Amino acid sequence: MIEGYIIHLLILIGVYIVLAVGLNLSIGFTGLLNLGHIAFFGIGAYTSAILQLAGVPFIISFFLAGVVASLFGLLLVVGTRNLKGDYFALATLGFSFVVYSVFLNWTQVTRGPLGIPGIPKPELFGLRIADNFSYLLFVTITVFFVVMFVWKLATSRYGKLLEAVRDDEIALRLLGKNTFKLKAQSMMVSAFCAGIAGSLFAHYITYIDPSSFFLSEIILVVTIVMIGGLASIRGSIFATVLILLIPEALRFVALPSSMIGPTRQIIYAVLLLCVLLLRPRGLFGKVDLE
Amino acid sequence: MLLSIQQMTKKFGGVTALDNCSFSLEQGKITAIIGPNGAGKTTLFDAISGLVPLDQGKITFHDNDIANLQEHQRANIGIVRTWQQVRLFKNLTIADHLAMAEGNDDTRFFRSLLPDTKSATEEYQSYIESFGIERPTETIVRDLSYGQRKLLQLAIALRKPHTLLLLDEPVAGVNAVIQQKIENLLMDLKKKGETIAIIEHDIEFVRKLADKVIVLDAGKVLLQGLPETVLRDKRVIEAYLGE
Repeated sequence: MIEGYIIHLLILIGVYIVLAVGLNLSIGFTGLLNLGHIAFFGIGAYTSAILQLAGVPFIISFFLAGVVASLFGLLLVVGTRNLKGDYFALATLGFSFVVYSVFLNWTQVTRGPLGIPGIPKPELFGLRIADNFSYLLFVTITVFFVVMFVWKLATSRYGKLLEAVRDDEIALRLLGKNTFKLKAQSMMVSAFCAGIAGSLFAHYITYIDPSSFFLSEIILVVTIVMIGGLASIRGSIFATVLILLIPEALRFVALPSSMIGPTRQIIYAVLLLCVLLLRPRGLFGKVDLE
Repeated sequence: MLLSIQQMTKKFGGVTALDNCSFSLEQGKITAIIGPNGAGKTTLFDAISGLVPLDQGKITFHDNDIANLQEHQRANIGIVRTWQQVRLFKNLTIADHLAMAEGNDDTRFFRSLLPDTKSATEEYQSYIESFGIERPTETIVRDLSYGQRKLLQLAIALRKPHTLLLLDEPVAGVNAVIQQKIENLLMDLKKKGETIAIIEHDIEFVRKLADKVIVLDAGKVLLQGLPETVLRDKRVIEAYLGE
């Protein structure tokens, strides 16, 4: 019983690490205040679920979840190419609302508020990942590759360019770098991570509906990135574990079930405030929150 | 002629920052651009480097119209600039900055996934020391003094392959020692035959350095010509020397 509960938590932590590390690439490294990340998460989840239910093999659905999300990432960057800072953030937030509305209202495809039930457990090369322990292994392998990929990208000379976009985009352009291309690529990789996280989530829970991809979720992931620290992969991993585990303590406190949700939100808010006031760079961040 | 500007006009709302300016920059010559605050000097550099679109006029570089080139494309054809207020990437190291200036291989996404083989630490160290920056190349630039950052900015501009350097008040805001260092570096660049346009307020230094002087006032080219002629003009003397 307890074993199952721990495996469940570890799977969710894995999914959110992929989501948070991807978001840190766009927010922390590139300086794009991307509030559309949860929409990419949803796009990945729906893409993977719909494709699998249509008979497409899991491995293809899984990668297409990332690819489709990253294409939407490109679309978002192209559409907002003249927007900066807060305006960019608002536009990406608007994108999240639009995507949420599509999930809710395009009932022929998404079944709207009814959601999509019965999403099959993955099958990889003839091997069915039916039990949660096997799924945890699959999630762990995915987390490993995503973290290594983003780490390699971030520590390369290319990654330094992404950081330069964040620090002073105009100065970088005057050094001859096409910053639009850099931002687009960063956003696409970030969205790809969110897309495959969505696929992992959908096939684990086996049911998705629009409420899993709404504003409260983006607040959760942004909180993870802020607390872990901008431009710190280690920080995103640590903060994911912290943020997902702390509210679990509420299960062992005799709180009425109606209080657990709001209490969790209060805990996130207090944590975020403490970090902003006491450690403006987050736990492991390299740059100030501005 | 390396760069030619014809009837350049730029307005910001009701303010005319550049008003029908025409002049040229010659290969291997140093051109000083002088004028009171608000004369349009920095706007002129912004227009040449592509940061502000022109309302009217034409810019040709090596006889090619560059109006449609974006700022990064202009930098890549050799128009490189520095800033009056230093603009560096505050969370990156000196070495990161120098590497960025060397070419555009670093923008290749898939190349970034291969192992890094090139390490030029020693070469970078001796390069920055030749500019008088006595700090390890792994120093984050926000830890440098303002003068050191100003020197680094010049070092980066020179590291970037260029045919025209636009230097916006390279000695503004630095102490006398750094000012002397920068002035010596610029005199060396003159000897090497670099093509430079420089915004500068120190008239004596302009007299020593420049082959040509352009005086801007209220967005218009008031005068242009040899330093000994222009700097003797009554209007310039009144504006700069108060005589």
